[in-house]
Amino acid sequence: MRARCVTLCAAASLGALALGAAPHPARAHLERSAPAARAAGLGDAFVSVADDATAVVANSAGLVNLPAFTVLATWQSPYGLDDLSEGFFAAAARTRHLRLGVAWFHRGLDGALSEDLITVAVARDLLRTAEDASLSVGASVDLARVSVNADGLDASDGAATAGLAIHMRPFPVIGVGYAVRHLNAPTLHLVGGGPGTPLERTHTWGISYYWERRLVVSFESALEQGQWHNRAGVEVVLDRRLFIRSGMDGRYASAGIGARWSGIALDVSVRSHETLGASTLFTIGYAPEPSADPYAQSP
Amino acid sequence: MKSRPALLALLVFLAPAASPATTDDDLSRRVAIDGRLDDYAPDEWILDATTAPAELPNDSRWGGDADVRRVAATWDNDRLYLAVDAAARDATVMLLVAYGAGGVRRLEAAGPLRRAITCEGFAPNLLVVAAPGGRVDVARVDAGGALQTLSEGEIPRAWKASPTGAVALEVAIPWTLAPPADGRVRVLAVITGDTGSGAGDAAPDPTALLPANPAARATLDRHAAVAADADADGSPDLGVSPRAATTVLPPGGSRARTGVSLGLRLERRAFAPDLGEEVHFEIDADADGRVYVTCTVYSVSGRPVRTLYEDDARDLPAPAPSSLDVWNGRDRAGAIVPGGVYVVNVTWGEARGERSGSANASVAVVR
Repeated sequence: MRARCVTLCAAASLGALALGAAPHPARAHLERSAPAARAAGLGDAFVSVADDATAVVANSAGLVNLPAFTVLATWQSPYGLDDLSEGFFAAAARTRHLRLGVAWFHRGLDGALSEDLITVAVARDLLRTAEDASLSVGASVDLARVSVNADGLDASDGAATAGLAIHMRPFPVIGVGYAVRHLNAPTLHLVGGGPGTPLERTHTWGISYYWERRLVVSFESALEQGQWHNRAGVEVVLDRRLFIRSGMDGRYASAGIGARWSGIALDVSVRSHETLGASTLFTIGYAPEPSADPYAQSP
Repeated sequence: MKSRPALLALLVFLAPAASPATTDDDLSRRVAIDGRLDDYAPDEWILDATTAPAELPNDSRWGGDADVRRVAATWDNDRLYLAVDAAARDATVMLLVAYGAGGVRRLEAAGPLRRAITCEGFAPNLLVVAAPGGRVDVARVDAGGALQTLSEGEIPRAWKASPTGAVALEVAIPWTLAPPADGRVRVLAVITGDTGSGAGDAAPDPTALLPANPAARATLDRHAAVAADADADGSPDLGVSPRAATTVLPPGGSRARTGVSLGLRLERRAFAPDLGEEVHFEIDADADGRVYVTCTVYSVSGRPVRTLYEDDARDLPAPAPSSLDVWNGRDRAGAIVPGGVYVVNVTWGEARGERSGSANASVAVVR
């Protein structure tokens, strides 16, 4: 059983990479940015970590590692621009056989443009051993909507897309993740006669290393706009309730802190772009205390 | 012990003789406009080898033949006296004086020069130009930017050269012709030479060496600010030390100018390039002087899309509307970018390649 799953995952990964090797048009609507402060603090290298509700969009297979119910909300104003804001809300719960997650990402340019992406994800274990090795898969459906109402332009359009993800812990100290989003690469049309804007298919894979319960080191590579981009991050745990993070994401350097108390999680991260300046992300979340430990394995 | 009172008495006796010269009610009997510089007291040499910031190493590419050694300034109730002590064999010596609003920054506007020169941080409105043959022209820049030649009767002047290449230039400028608007007179001395003869020199030195290639534009970004009317009561301050009243701006060690603030305003929030639309933007400034501006468009995730221009020179505080300040929604390859949110970024610095500040504005591309 275990060998079959590993083979299946390897084949799926190779197939997805082959798909991603083809050139893709650039994407700007709903272009990726770190959705939550913890992921941002890790340099957005989160596909192999995926152990909070951000997993709904980062790696839906990671939902299997979450507690019975968890929720988080994030707000940021990119580059300190007063008229541009981004919000992210995600929640995850579990049933007897499945893990469910829902997320809503919103980007708004005041009085001009609104971008919304609602994601519904499910995940389940394919394999879990007594030695804390696991293999899980996830799938997601995205509903994207973009509307504009400014300077004589008044239009909106929507599309549905899908994604797949794999999360693996072959050893307790190693995490591996892979996710592909916008598999059908739909196109949004807001101006008649134009070619519209495709939501580009993206591929992300990553690996993370866990040292006892004190440190996470994460690396990932993402295929966006036809090119691979690398990012990496590290999280240090102080006294199980305080977290310090740092990461690099191409043009960004990031740093963040987090605290956990009675199931409440507060995270703040600053992402500094080499030219555009800093963006500060604030996230507040809730997860039952026993599973707030990001290194814990699911039961 | 007995010798101590005597020593103190001697010091008190000698003290007046050692005190610096100060501005006085009438200096015309002491300071003659004759090309001789020995009538200026040590404290009236506002720029010399001891002035901070120090001269740049190898600042004069002509060696001893092109060097502004000293600049003197002093004043009385009626006139501002300026003098330049230079080594300038077969070279033009200029004194640039700014006393109020207006003025020129590109000195080519003053007539044919041997090299293109731009002043940063001040705009001279009185130009004293001494050609190698000994002719000294003085011109004033009126509020409209036009040059008005002033006669020797209006502004007395003198030029004297020695066979060794030493040059002395003197002028006496009536306050009625150059009333300091903010209580300060700004002064800069420059030497330029023939094509192929090198970089020339300036005092105070600019923050970077002048280009050795005479075909390259020289940028003079420092000047001496002389607080001749520090209390701004409309009358020159008397009894003050000119040297103590002089400040070199900007001070040495840093090119950063405090208070520089640029803003970016886009004329619209969204545009459709497929319909032939484009977005114009304006750069607002809360500063004066020249800055070099670079404008780049980024996607909202921080990916550079296109650099619209790089190190474009803008004269603040009122940069002229530029045809460059427009984005047609295309990337560097000429293709229209995908729809979404983009960030227009301008960065600026006081020298090419320098980035001392930036401003962002966001716009939506609709397709």
